[in-house]
Amino acid sequence: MSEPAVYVYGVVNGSSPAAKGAGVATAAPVRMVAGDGFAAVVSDVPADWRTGGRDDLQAHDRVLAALVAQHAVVPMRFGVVMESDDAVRERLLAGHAGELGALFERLDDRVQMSVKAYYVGEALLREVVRRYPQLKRDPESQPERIALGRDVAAAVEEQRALDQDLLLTPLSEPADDVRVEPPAAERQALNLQLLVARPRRAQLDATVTRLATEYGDRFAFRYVGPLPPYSFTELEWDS
Amino acid sequence: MAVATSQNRYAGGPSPSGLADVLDLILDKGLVIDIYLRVSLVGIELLTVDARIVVASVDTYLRFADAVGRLNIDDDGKEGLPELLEGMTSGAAKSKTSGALDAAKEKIEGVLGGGDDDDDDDGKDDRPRRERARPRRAKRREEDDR
Repeated sequence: MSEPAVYVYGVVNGSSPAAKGAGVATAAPVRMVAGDGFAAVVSDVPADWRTGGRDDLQAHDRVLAALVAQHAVVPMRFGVVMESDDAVRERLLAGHAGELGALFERLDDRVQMSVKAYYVGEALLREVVRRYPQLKRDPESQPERIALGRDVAAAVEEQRALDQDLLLTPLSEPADDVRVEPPAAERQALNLQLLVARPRRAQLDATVTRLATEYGDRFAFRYVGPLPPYSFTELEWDS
Repeated sequence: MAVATSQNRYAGGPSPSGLADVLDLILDKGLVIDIYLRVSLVGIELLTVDARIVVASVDTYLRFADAVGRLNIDDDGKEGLPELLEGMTSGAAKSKTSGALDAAKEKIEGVLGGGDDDDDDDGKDDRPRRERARPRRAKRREEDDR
């Protein structure tokens, strides 16, 4: 039996929230490790733990989702393990107090919202062919087929960039910061992560509703949140 | 299961997140301290790399060419590009033309949907994730460009 190690979910400002629920790995209870001004949300895991199953990912997500509903939280990426509570206190909370303070200033009372837009049916290709009628040609050989496909692919990327701009401008307006992620699927028009102050969420709701109505024939929207601000805490710190 | 799909239509307000909505965020964003202390996640890391590749390959070009061809034929029809635009979310047909994105999705489902068989960790690979990801990405490109 090896010494337990400590899985870290995230950091909260102050020590107020009472963490609860079951953690990753052995479902050990989630608890707080309080430092000076900040507290880490952790649970025990076996030191030789090697993961990666669905249950662990869900546990990580569940713990942070419960926190972000009420509190400002700096989420850790999945899989951060430290050797002890002391290590968490010294190397994370005290060792990076300055950076954490700056992060919380930026994140205070803000949450991440995610807006993804997907092309409906064949909207993307129809638009592309309308813009470039020369794509309506009939290839007569394999090289011509490949050349046509290459032209279509280029036009598709151009169209995607146009549509990103079209949606990005109104969606960004209520946000303090945005990240446009590369499309994760061919039919994805936009993969946008927004950092939004909690009081301005209603404004973003209204904007998404308006866009979904206005462009419903071209895009299907997937609007999700509030999320822990993963996309706005993408830092790698050495201890 | 609903990984990376888009069938949920927007319904008047934000939805609570499902694992599929946050998977890429959990695995690729957020704060990292002491990256060498991250648990070994071999299978999961590979899938995030694969899922991100929207491939520019001969296979993709041929799919696009065929898709536009079909679009021309039934220009006013309702039928369109099932393989190209819906195949990757339907999870139904494993058409030969559905390409690399379907392969990536299957991999995601394999890891997330699987029970114990998703752990292909050999227990000795503790290098940071980015070091491992690069060679595979490069290899994938070479294969696609052939």
